[in-house]
Amino acid sequence: MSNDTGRSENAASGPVGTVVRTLGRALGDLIALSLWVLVLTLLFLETGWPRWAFYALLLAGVGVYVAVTAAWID
Amino acid sequence: MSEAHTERSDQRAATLRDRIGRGLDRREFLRTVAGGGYALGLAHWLGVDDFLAVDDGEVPVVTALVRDDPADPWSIRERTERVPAAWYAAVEKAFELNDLLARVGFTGYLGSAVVPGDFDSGTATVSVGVSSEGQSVNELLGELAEGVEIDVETFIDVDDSGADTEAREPRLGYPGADGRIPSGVACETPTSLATLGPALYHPDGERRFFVTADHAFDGVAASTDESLSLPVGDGDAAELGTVARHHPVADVAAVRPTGGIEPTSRIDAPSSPRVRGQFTKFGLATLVARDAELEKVGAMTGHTVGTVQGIDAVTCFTDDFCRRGQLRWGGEMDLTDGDSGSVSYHRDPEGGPDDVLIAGFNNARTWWPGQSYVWGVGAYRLTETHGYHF
Repeated sequence: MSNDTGRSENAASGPVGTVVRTLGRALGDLIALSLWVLVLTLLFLETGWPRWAFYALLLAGVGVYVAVTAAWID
Repeated sequence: MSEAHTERSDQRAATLRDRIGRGLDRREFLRTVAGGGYALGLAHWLGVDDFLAVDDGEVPVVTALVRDDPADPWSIRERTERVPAAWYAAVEKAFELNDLLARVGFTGYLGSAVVPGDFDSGTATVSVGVSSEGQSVNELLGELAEGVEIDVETFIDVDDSGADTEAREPRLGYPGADGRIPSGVACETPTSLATLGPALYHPDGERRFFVTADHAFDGVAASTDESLSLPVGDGDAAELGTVARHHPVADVAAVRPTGGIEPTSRIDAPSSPRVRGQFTKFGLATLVARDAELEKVGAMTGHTVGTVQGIDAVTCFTDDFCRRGQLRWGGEMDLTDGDSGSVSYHRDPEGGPDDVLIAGFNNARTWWPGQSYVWGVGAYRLTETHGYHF
């Protein structure tokens, strides 16, 4: 980068960029997990499967989601 | 600490560590805990335990608004029925989720409907119509309009009634000796032909109205007199009244009687059914649970019968707003241009042999692969939003 006024901003974009990326990931997680909860809820509403299965699948899904997406990060 | 462990272990673990990267174990752990907590919290907020943890037993629900005295429309009162608690919880939750989906209105959302299961199953399905991801709804509609017929054309527009209408003669009604005219016969607006519904009542001032589909008045200049008339053959017509209120979202026009003809709660079917009241949202749900059929009498297609396909439906594919509280039933063959304004009804399970309860209006039809139904606003929705009842 050239030595201009943007330089100090560019220097600051390091931590800012990290924060933005982290927030973006957190938002992605929220959307993905919200959809998962909604899909599971509609599925159990439709099938009438037992309560323990709902919570087991709910948490298993979170675990699988984190394990799968962890490989994508970095 | 974990790093020291990994460095001492075999090469496979080292490769795994390289692949995952430094410090990710802790991050994964935190994400799992936070994600799990969020998911549990959201599930709790959605109230999944409302239907996952229901005791056996029965609960009372209001299933209909019914007249005590069949001849007195102002004597309506609520009728309750006992239904299985698990079924009630599932259906109630499905209504809530359907409402939530409609309010969130994510990209690609075309509409949704609730389909209750039978009483024993204790289940309910929310059927969601979505366009494919990454496309705006408008783009999708534009594409679909070329291939499959989903666009404003599926919303029956009585203005451009095509060959379908010309091939049939509308059912004409004649006022009886009492000067009343039953539902299910043709009525005429300044621009088009539609079906006359049964008398609609409003408790505010004890008014009674003729009623038909609001879109039958499309294209009528606001300055002109918006009159509704009854064609009686040979180009003659008897005046019924003028529009008192337009309800474009419900697609209902209330017409104040001005001539000598009065609206009545009869339907022009072979058994001459008498309207005794209307189903509530849960009343319609019990109809679906019992796999019951609805009937209608349209000015063009006459008397047809079909099963309910979805209740409390939201449809967003015809106008630039969403219509709520819709009823989907039957198939595309149950409705054609000129049938708009007719009502769907079912025999009153506790009334006399000729008594029927209204389910809702029939104002449009939709068909695309896998789906074909007639739809219109539910009677309960009209009562909730505008106060009218049948």
